[in-house]
Amino acid sequence: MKTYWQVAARNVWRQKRRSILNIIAISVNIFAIVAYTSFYRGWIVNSFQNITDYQTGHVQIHANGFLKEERRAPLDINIEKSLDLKEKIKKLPKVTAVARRIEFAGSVSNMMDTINVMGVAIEPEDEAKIFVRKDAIIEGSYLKANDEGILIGDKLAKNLNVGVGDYLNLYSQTKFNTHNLVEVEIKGIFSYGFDYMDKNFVFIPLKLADQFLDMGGDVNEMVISAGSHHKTIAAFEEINTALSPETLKKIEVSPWTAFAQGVMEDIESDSISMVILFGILVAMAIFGIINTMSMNVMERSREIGTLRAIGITRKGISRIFLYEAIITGIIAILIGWFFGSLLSAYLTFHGLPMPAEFFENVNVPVDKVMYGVPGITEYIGTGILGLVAALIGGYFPARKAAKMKVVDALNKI
Amino acid sequence: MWFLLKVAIRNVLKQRRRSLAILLAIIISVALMQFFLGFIDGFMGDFMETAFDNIGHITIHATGYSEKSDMLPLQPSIYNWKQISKKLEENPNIVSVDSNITFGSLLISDLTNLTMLGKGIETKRGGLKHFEEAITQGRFIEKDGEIIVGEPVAELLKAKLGDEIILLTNDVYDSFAGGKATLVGLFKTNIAGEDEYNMFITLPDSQVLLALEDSVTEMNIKLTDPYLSKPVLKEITPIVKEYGLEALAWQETNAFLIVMTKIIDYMMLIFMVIIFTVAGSSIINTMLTSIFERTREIGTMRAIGFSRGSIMFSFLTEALILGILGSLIGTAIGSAFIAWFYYHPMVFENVSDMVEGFGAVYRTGFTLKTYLICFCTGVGVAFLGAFYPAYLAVKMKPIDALRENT
Repeated sequence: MKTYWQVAARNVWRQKRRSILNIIAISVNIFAIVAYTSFYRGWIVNSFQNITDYQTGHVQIHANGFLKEERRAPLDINIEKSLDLKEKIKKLPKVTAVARRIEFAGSVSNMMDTINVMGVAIEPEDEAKIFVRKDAIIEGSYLKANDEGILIGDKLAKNLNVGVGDYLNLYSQTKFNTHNLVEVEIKGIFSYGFDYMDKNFVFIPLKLADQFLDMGGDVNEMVISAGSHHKTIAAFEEINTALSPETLKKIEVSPWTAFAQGVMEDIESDSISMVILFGILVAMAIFGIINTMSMNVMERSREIGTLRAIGITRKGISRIFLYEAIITGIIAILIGWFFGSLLSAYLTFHGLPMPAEFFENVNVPVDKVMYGVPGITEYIGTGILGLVAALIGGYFPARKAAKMKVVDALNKI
Repeated sequence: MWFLLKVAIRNVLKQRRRSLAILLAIIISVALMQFFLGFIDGFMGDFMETAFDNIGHITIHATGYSEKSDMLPLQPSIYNWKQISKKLEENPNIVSVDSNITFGSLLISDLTNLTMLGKGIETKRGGLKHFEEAITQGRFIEKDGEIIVGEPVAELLKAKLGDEIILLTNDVYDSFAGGKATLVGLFKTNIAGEDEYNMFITLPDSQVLLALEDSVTEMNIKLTDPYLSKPVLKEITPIVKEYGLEALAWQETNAFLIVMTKIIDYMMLIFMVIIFTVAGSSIINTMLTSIFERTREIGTMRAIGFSRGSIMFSFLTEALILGILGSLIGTAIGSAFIAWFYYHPMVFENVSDMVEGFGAVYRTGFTLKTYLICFCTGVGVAFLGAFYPAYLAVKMKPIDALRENT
């Protein structure tokens, strides 16, 4: 047994050039998969975290029909008895925080220029338990429930040429489609680092919005935190079972993934194309191994004949070749892992800075520097892949070598 | 020479299995590359076309406009736009000059109202090709008093073709201004931002509505070739200066385009390197075995007087034949894939929400550059892959080569 391994190892060593080329073919794949997976996981983890932290929370509740018309931010499709519902959901063990909000379309004006914005009326205390809001304030302070104030993004502040303490006219239409205008003080300026939020969003306290939009205590949105985005489904299911069927008939409960379908679809399509690409590349590497090893079998036919003649069985011969492939595979895996983990470590600790212009058009909050997040899965996965590739690559040549007749093999040239 | 070519061809045919192995490696990698690049070409093509429809290859504003462009200001505006337009069009590289007014507006129908990005456009210019092609119901606007919006907007407003829609906005004096227009067409570009926010009326209508008689806020220039933007920019500087305007090439107005192009170039390069390393090692390996097997043959040829050069030549020719043949077949297969995905595009509805300007429909594209890159790389890899083995072959001494008996 041990001798077979020794013979195989010696053969791998003897055919240096060939072995190196086979090793390169496999290890390039492993290297690329390891590094790519770590980088891509970083992007996913980062965008999931930021989407839930900045924009969606973990679970959202709307009245039926709201989401279909969300583009116009309707104020007439509201959640019934939202305060009772909030209290009820708050008591659920898997829910860590609940906040009521009003989404509305409006515009802000500095008396000179007017700009359309997406308004969000919030319960400041509860909102801050679900979203990164307080920490995003770079100037001034966060809202208090009784403030007649507004939070705006740094880009919007720059466009309007205003700062903390200045007053803005906030315009919108009420629930009953009448025009209304309110003067609000800029309490704080936030910066999330991406234009979509910093240019377009403003926050005001729910209490102010209730009067301003004539909502009569109604809200059109409720956001829920499950503590971490990994626990979303658990909280989502708990809410669905805890609420009565009559209540559920009137509302839509949605996990945050429903609001991040772009990212979800992007991940899906990227994964599929990567599987196809590496599938074909690994197939090519396997094909290369089969090819070189079968030629090796032909070249070594005399050797094989001699071995057979001195009493080594067919099985033994096929083993030698199979072991050769496995040794090649293992070396390739180790080399691929080594270089893959180097690049992955660089991405994890140093990160890849993304060009600033990238954030002008991307509506998904991702950080300015993308960091890799390595995981054990890609190492296990590529390890299995490399071994399987080596085994398949070695199987056919090994069978061919074993099938040779002793006389024919010795006879060759 | 001719004889050596014959030797090469005969060797290709003699070693059928081996030739097939090399061919397959080239075919797979060329087809794979072609397929990937085809998608990137298609994607970038659509992305650029959309961007150019919206910003032109060169955009002209009145000085001071672009700092405030997020606010969709109506001032400063361009007064002598007709004259400027005429002067600009004298430049042979300029295909068209589209003047428009971009403004924010409310669109009201029934009890629903939506904030919209309005554009007053010159209808006869055709600078908005992708909107014209995206009309799904009715037609593009042709005369005053007409409006077109995206399908989702019409749905939210519950408006049908022929309905009158009310526009409400602030005019240039910052007082409320309203107008009516008949809905004559709906479009669906599959780009979320455009379908949900854009609306078009005629330029004269928008001038009346906004009290901006005789002026426009923006002029978009389309060129014969987008990459001429910098030189043309220089050529039109006198006109721009004369009227106190500022002109920007698309590279400056839409830096995202440049970033995308760069990211995609890097991605392409990485893919190419990986694909061809795998293919290359397979090719070198196959050629190596082939040469070691033929040591005696090589020895014999050397012994009867063939020079090292001619032996090298015959090996490289062999590789070249395989490279060209493989690349041709690979290109054909790649093209078949490209054609299939051109007519059966993939649809990712939601990706469009994520990045501005990204569409929901992904089809492959065709550019000569891609074909050349794939073909040449295929041939090149085969050729380079043969170089090292061929070098080893010619290095052998005839006497050693003949003695070898495996």
